[in-house]
Amino acid sequence: MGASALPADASVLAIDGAVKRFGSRTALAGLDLRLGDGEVFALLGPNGAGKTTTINLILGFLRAEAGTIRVCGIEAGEDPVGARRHVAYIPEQVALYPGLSGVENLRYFATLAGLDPSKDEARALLAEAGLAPEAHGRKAGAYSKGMRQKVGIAVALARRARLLLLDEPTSGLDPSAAADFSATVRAAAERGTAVLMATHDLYRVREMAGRVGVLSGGRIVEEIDPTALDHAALERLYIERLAEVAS
Amino acid sequence: MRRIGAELALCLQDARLRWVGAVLALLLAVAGLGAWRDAVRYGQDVDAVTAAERARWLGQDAKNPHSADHFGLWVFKPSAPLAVLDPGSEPYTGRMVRVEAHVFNDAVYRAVQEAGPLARAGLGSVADIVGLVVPLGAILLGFSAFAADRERGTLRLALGNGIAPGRLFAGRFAALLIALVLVVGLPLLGIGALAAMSRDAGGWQLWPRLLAWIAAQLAYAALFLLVAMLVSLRARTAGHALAAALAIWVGLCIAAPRLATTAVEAFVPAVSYREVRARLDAEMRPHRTAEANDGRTREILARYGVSEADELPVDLRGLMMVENDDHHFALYDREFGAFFEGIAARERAFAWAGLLSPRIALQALSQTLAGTDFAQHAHFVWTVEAYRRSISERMNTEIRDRPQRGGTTLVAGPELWREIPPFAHAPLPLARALADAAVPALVLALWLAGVGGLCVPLVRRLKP
Repeated sequence: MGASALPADASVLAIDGAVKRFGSRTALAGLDLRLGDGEVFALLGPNGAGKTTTINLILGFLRAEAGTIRVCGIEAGEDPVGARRHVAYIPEQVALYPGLSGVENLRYFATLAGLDPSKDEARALLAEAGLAPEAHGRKAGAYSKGMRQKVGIAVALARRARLLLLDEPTSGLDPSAAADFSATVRAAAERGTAVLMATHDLYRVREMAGRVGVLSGGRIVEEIDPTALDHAALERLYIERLAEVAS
Repeated sequence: MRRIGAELALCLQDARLRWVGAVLALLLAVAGLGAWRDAVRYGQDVDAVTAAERARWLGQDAKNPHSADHFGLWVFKPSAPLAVLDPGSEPYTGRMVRVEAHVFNDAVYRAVQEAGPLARAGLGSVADIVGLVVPLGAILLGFSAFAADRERGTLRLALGNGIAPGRLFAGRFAALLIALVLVVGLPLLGIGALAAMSRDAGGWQLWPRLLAWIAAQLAYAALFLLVAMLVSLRARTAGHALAAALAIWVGLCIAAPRLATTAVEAFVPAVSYREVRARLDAEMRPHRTAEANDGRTREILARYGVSEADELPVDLRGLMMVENDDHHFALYDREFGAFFEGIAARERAFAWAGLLSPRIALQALSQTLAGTDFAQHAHFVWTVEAYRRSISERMNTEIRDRPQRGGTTLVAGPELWREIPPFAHAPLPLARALADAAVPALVLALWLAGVGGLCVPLVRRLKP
């Protein structure tokens, strides 16, 4: 049985018929998606396809006009705070407090989320996220985008949430950092974390995702098993599907 | 507590807190220490002049008691110890009263006559600074609470990682409030403690007064912190939040108090002092004529059933002075009673006008708790009047009860002067101040509850 056939109450994430409009523009036109423990799902789509809107609906930052979005059984539109308790999230641009070090930023966000990591635990999480030890104590104002992204990963890892949301996670990362990131996500999935990533990066999709959904016109137009295709075939299929929808 | 600690640590990293704290502490210290120095000097002057007046009274020559009543003496209003923090009505009401026969004298010499440029600019006292500048400090600390995080992107990371908006708001508010307590509460406590320890605070119940007063100031500062955070919850950028919060500050701290004062004066008319004096004059003039005097003489002789003053068991002049004063006392009670009640009614209306501006509510609350409100001044005026009446009554009864025959005049000496105790003034008790403070305290609490209540739905819907 495919994960998409999971009943809503057994899914970590269950989206049914989600519709979201911004004025006259329809961002999502009846999106359906199921995600179970340990699954990695990649939402592929061009800019404006509705990837970030989907993530914002799951986080409760936006509310759907129709349909339901449930995280661990909690309706995100009704109880966004309750739903977010089960979610860890890494935005495309991870912003940190520039006057605090990586360790201090991580401990700050973790403390506000109700955790209390020691300095050593924070350093271990940052190391797990791939941030070099010599950077742990430096002010975040001097960090590159990749380094900030790694602190964001550490913040998300600290929460050990059931659902990890990634919005363009490898955008701006150098190849080595992107590879480290892929490994971190796979490790999280192996621990049972469900992962939903919105991305353009076909190469990393093949590396990380178990399922790929091509998002266009506000709905998933095709679901692909990336392991069955090589990178070139995946790219060709993706472009064909987008062209079909556009025509 | 860990969350508050984390927010406080973040807050302490911000140079703004150091700058805001330094400026507020400096302003409060300059105003407070200046007021304390003036208060100590005034207290010494009062002690010296009071002692000199007492010596002058006791050292006066032997004379008729009524002449001694006219000889009179000056009494001085002791400044409330917490006037160092909030002078309230003290600079605008007289500090000394001449006590003499027949006349309900005004308190004269107002401290505002010596006001320096800072006082004329409306920033002369600690209370002025708390009323106007501390809200700015609170706004500067609070405007970025969410808007800057929204602009920077840290709010998205925080909310997306399970941080509950309510807890985020509560932790941030608590941390900023602690910062405000440090930069405002501690200087106020220091100045108040200096006043408490260095000045005679007999009867003032000073420490509970001081703590209640500081709590009121901090509640007011907390209100503007909430206003800034409320705006910050909605604003897209920190700049927008700051602009909006400053506009609210102008409205609440500058425009609304003017509007409220005008409204109170329009809707709560009070008898003017000039009208009171005119009415008193109109009622007393016919009583002072020779014809009226002759009429009262005839009435007294008839009352005792005699035809000559020397046949009376009492001294006619003494008895007439007692009865004249009783007539005047009743007039003063009626006219000045109505006059002071008119002012008190305006003060009560002004406290409710705090619904238009929390600065007004704080002003009413602060003066009442500091013991510098108009009620304290009225209490002093009536205490002086009671003292004046006690002197007149003692002098008049001395004459009345020692009838002089054959046109001789009674002469009294130091034994009689010593019977008059030194003037003593006990302030209105704290319980009365707390009762008077109920309305402005309620109004300030309503402001806090209202702004806090507005924050609740915005916090629930907080978006990055």
